[in-house]
Order: sequence, then C-alpha cells, then structure tokens
Amino acid sequence: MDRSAARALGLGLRRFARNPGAVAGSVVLVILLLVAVLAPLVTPYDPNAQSVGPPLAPPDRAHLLGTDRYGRDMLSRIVAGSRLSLPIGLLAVSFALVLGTALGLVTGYFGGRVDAYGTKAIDIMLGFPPIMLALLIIAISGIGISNVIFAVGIGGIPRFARIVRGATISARENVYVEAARAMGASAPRLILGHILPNVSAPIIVLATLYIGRAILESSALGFLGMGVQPPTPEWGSMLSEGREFMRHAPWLMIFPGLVLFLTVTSINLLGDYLRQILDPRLRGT
Amino acid sequence: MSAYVLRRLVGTVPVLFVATTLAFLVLQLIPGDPVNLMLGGVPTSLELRENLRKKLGLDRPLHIQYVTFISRAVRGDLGVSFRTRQPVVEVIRQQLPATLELAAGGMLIGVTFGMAMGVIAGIRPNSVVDTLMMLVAIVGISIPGYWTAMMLIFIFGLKLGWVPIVGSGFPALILPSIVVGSFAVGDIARLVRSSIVEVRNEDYIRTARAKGLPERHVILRHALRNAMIPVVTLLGLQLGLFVGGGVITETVFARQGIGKLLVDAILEKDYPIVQAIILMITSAYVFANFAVDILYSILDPRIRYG
Repeated sequence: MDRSAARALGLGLRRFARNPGAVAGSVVLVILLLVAVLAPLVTPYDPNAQSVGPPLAPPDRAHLLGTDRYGRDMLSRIVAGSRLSLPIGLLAVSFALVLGTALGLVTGYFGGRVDAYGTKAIDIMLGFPPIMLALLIIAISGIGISNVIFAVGIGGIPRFARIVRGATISARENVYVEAARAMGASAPRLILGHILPNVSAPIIVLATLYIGRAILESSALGFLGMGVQPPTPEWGSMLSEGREFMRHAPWLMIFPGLVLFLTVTSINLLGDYLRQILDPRLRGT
Repeated sequence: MSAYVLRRLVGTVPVLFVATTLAFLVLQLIPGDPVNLMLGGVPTSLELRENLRKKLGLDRPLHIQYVTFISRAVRGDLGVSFRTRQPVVEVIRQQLPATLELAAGGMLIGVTFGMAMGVIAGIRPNSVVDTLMMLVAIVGISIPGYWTAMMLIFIFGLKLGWVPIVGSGFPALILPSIVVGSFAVGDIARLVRSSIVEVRNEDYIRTARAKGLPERHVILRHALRNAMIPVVTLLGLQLGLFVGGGVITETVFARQGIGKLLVDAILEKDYPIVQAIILMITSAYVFANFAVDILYSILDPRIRYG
C-alpha cells in the first residue's frame, strides 16, 4: 500500500470512529454474524429438542432466556433463528438487487423506447403497497421459505431500478464511457465494465438499508403464519408463539423481538453511515 | 391545471389495469381446483361440481371470464365468500370502518410526533437533541411493528392496566394507533428535519426574524409551512405503510378490519375476499397518490409546468 492510500484509509477509519452509531451498529452486527456462523458450537442445547428444561420456565442460570411451552431452550432457538432470518433477508435483497439493477442499467443506458417502457414498468410496480405485493405472492404461491424470499424481494426491484436508472443516465455521458464506445466496446461490455462500477455506490447504500427492511418484512410474514413454519425456529414465528403466553411467560416474546430489533437497528445505523459517506444525494430522503 | 390533472389521471390506468389482472389471476394461478376450495373438501358428486363450475363461470374461456370479472367488479359485484357465502362487498363493508378509524388514528399520531421531532431536530442541526432525535427516527424504522404492539399491550395493558387491550371505542384505539403511527414517525421526522434545515437560511426567514417576530412564530408560521410540502407527498406514499401497518396491527390486537380479513382469507384460502381486498387497497393507494400529486401541484405551482 502506498502512502496516500494509507492516509486515505486512516482518514476513513477516523471518520468511521467519530460516528458512534456506525461503530455500535458494526460491533453488534459482527457479534450477531459470529454467533450465527458458530451457532452449533455456542448454543447450549439443540434448538428443537423438547423438555431440555421445564416448560415455560423463566430465565435462570440453566436457561438464560427461559424455555418455551415444550421446554425448549429459548437462547438456543433465538441463535438458531439468526441462521434463518439473516440469510432470508440477504437473499431477498440479492434477488431485488440483481433484477432491479439489471432493469435500471438497461433502461438508463438504452434510453428512448426501452426507457419509456422500463420506467412505466417501474412506476406500475411502485404503485403497489409492498406488503400487498408480498401477501399477493404468498396467496398465489403458498407458504414456504423460498416464497417468502421471492415475496419480500419483489417489492425491492422497482426501488433498485429507479435509483440505478438515474445514476446510469448520468454515468452514460461520461468521457470514459464515450472513449470506450469509440474504441468499439459492445453494449454489455460498456454497461458491465464501465457504467456498473460507477453506479455501485448508491446500490450498496440502498442494499444495506433494504436488508433491514427485508428482515422485518419476512419476519412479519412468519409472524402472520405465512412464512417459516414451526417448529423451525424463526424470529417472527417465535414471536407469534410468544404472543399466546404474554401474560404468564413474557420472555417468550420479549427476547426474540429484542434480538430482531437490535439486528435491524444495527444494519440501519450502518446503512445510514454508508449513505452519508457514499452518496450525499441520498441524504434526507 | 386541468391538463395536468388529466395527464395524471391517465397515468393511473396502467396500474389499475395490472392490479385488476393480478387480482383476477389469483384464482387462476393457485394450485388446485377453485371448486374444491369452495366445497371445502366435502365429497360431492361430479354432477354437482360441474353445476357449480358452470354457475361460477369457470367453464368459459379465460378471456371471457376476465371480461365478466371486470364488468362485475365495476358494478360493485365481487362475488361471494367461499367460507360464509356472504357477498364479498358486504363482508368488506362491515370491516371497513374499523380500518379507517385505525388509519386515521395512526396518521394523526405519526404526523404529530414526526413533525414535532423533525422541527426540534431541524432548528439545531448537529446538536445533541438532533442526534438523539435521529437515533429515535432510526429506531422507529428498525423496530418490528408487531413487537411494538405486543410490548405496548404487555406494559400498558397487562402490567399497568392503563388502557383496555380489547373492545371498541376510543380507549381501545389508543395503542393500535400508536403502533400504526410509529411506522411513519421516523420518515416524517427525517423529512421535516431536512426541510427545516434547508429553509432555515432563506431570506424570508431572515426577514421574519428581522421584523422582531418571536422565534416560535418564525418556525411555526414561516419555516414549517414551507417544510410541509414534501411531507404531503410522503403521506401519500405512506398510505401503503398505514395499510401494511393495519394488516399487522389488526392481527396483533385481534381487531376487526380489512387487514385481519385479508390475512384470514389468505390462510383460509377464501380467494374471492383476497381478490376484492387486493383490488380495493391497490385502487385506494393509486387514487391517494393521484390526490397527493394534485395537492402538491396546488401547493407548488412549479410542478405543473415542470
């Protein structure tokens, strides 16, 4: 690494350290990810094993977060749930990101009639309330994990497409794109090799902020009984089970919700920081 | 002005067309035979099933079914519920007031708290209060709505006993409204904040100060009024959030309403109800955005000529 790069890195790190939200968010996220990856090693019990303790036992030393109605260990189930909720959110966002970015790049690059139709399609998709779109997909395709990913992801497509289209239109006019075109580069090469790298900042920001939303939406579907089905531990469906025992075993709904909330807050704090440094245009939106 | 209204009105047609088509296709795309679903698994003779199929028009070609579906929908006939055999329109009419009540309550809370937070943060950007407010706003968009609902029920309903958690009337509306409103608070606060920061240094604000107006006056009468324009647009877009909030909130509070009706209908595979609600909510969303566009162009004439 040369000197200026090292200085830039140092500057970036100092800037990062000055943002308490971003630091706190990253620390929590790293811990959560580590726990999710190491789940089988760190969970004290098998998350699906029944009667590892008395049913509905309050938090104590043997079961730090208590047990549910079947005597399953809540801590183990919440940790196991992170291995589901985080990937579902990530996959839903990836789905939206890939299709939305492709749509945005194509409409923005080609312009003219392609852009007119593409923009119309984006507007129509934005015309649906996201939760309606998700419920509609579930109503048609049925209940299940892959349907949840699809249902949550589809609402993100027009949002990625709109931002990428705007960025592509301005990137397309740059001299280096012009130069590459003059040298005979094909459209796919221009789009993927020259435009995409230059529109990646807003994509990264939106993706980060959208992960939090996707996790919330997919857990809401789980909560409504339309997502991951019991006994598989998933935060949303665990909260739905916890609701029934709110009066006598409130820990069943407090802890999964708290973890879900912490996860999404950390992601959003990090996303907010990325927005500030990468894309000043998005500020305040 | 009328040209602008007309242009925007024409713009709603494709969305409504896609919404109707999707609603129509729900019944065609689901795995299995709608007649089976309607009979609810009760064994019946082949003849009865064929009769039912004919009566529902399911034996006719798809495009004819589509035209029939639309012409009936336009006349307010959305079929009968698979479960209760009641006309769908009737079922929805019974549930609608509860949902509108909740949406109004949620909007009131969202706008009041969102604007208050946004103004306080906007007056002194980058102060401790500002940072705190923005943190609250981020928390607001990060908290799962149904969890907020359960925690409120637990704390204020079960532990403190301050508010009823079931029933009807105003007291039972307080907690659900807070939940629905909380979906919007963060977004509104952010937007008001950035608007206030923007207009703070405008000439007319300086003039108002120079006239010796009290600061409260300057902020509320001069700054906030101009900062309101983007908030109006946001509210139109947020209608989706209020609708989505309704789906979750009504379920958690076991309230009546369109959202609860939709969730139950999906889980019970009562497709005529699902079709009708999709159609209704999407249309409402489209027309609310249309109304917002018009309102916006009245507030800010530059839009019309843009």
